[in-house]
Amino acid sequence: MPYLRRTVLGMATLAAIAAGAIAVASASASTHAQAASSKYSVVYIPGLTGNPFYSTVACGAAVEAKKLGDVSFSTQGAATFAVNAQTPIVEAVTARHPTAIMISNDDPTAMIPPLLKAQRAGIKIINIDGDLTNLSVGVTNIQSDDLLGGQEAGEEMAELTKDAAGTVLIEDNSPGYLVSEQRRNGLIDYLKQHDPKATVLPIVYTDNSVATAAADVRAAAAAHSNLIGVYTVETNNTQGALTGLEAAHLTGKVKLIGFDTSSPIVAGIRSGKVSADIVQYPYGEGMLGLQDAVLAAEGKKVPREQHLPFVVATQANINTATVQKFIYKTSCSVPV
Amino acid sequence: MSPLGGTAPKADRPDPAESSPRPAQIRSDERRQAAMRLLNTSPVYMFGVLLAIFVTFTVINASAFTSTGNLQNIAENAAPYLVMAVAMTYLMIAAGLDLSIGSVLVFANVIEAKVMGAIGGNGTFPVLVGLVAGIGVGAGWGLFNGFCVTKLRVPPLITTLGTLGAVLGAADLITDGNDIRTVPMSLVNWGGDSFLGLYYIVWVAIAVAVVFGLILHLTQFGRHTYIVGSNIEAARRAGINVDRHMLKLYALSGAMAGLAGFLALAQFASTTISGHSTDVITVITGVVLGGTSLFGGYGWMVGTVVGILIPTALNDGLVIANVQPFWQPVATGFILIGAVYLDQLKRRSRERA
Repeated sequence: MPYLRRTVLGMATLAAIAAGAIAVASASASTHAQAASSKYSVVYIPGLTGNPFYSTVACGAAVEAKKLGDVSFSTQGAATFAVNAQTPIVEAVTARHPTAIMISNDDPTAMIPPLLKAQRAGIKIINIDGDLTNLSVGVTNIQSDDLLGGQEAGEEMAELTKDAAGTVLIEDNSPGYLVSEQRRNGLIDYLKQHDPKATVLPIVYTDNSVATAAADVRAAAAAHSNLIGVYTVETNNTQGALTGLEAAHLTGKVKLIGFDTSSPIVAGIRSGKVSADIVQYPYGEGMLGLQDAVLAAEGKKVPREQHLPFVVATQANINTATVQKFIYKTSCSVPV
Repeated sequence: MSPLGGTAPKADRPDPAESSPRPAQIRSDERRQAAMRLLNTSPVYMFGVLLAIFVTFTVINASAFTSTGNLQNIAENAAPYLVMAVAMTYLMIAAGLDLSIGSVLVFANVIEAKVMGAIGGNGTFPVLVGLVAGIGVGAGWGLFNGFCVTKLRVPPLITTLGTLGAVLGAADLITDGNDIRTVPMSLVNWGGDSFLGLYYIVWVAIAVAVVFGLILHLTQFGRHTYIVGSNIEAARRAGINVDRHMLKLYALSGAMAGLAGFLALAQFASTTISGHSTDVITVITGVVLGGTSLFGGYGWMVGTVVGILIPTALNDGLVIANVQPFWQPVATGFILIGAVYLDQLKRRSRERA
């Protein structure tokens, strides 16, 4: 009977596809994670996958895990930066019961319930790059002081546009995130106090799209002939603004100050197309996070709040060892 | 008859010598054919796939994957998708489409939180008013979609693509883009509570699927949905008010997005404005995996339930198996293509038969 044959064949094929896809993926897991027989296991959950900042945190932690030995380290994350994407990941990782979870929280409040469950299950929580509003969840929070970073950006902007009166455009991914809000406010407050000649335009949101960031910079330049500066608070905005200014033949005339690095941004700093860039130290956050995970597992005390420094990268200092240490890594010496 | 179907099996063709088979044989033939038809439906295929997924992950890490907590989480994470997928099943059977559900969810999510915050307090009253308001505004956007499709004759793809952007923008306008956390404690507690081992959120989704599944398969409203989707002209001539019917289905889709927004609010104790841009893809994937035709006229509610569980279980299992996160969309994508390919094969073989 053709019906029956097709049915059996069909079900077998689909089951094979499903099992095959999982098997292939699981095979990659053996290289992805180190042996499960280690004394400690630490999982890092980034805000979203495929972001240079978070990848560098993972790299720092992975290198540190290898150095310490007896710690297996792996990364699990969602493709979108959202609570409802991150929560299922936390829950599934909790089911695996690692020693510690290092997490870059997508929301300071809404991530509390799943992390509280993990903590009650005996898993140590290390917050990376953003604390929770309930300080009893997590043993520590390791991050840069974003308000301070924003102020440094403001200082650079005032310095670069010293004699000019004009408008400054701020680009951000989307509203509603404390981290980028502080970065924006740092610059806005600084300019208000120290450089009243600069007018900050209404903030432009780009939905993490390079193309939108580029288009919006061109639009702002067309609308405001007195545009003197652009400040971008996330990686993709900086990359987009760089392209947009170039297309509008405004590179150099309009000062671009970015936050975070990626390969195109580093190239932009080298060529002077990005006037200054605030660089955090994610590699250090990853290293410290992993050390703290092990300390917490051994019952030792860890400071609840830890701030790591920034550097301001410019064309003049980009090749120095100090700045190079901070630059985000797109490839890692160990599997993450 | 060989199990894999040999050449020209005798049972398929009545022996000319035995022109009137005995009643008992007819019954057994009918039973066999009915069983065959059932076995050959997408929900059954997909149940096989779901089973394969569960078995694979259980083999990889049984203690974590099959733990009660983890299975509860899979069900909880699938619940808001299922609620939206129930309405999407109706719409797609009727050859409609709603791309705006994720944005309507967010809009309702915001209205619910605003209303609950405005009334204040941590009791049940603000929660209920918020729920009604959320379902109401959801249904309102649904009616708007339906109006554009049926009265203004703007194709559903374009209408709901438009509202996909517009409704999310409107939600951002109301909140200035910031998530709202004015959620009464009674709702937060309800979201974390369970009954018979399943979260209340999951029970709501199950109830919605059962009630609307029965309506779809047993009532005149359900039958009309199939008729409108398989042959709109025939539906008109049979006296079905097609526009009115479609309007109801779009309103249902919006209302269900509103309910899903309520469930999400209970689950996360905060609006989740930026988290639903890909919901519609998950929902359509689930509905199509469950065997509902993209071109209308065909579909099963039970298939939708199974179809929605596949990406959710896969997502969870791959994390537990410690697979690199990028594999999840790869696996789901290929299973979807494979499922629709098999569906086509099946249809062709049926047309030949």
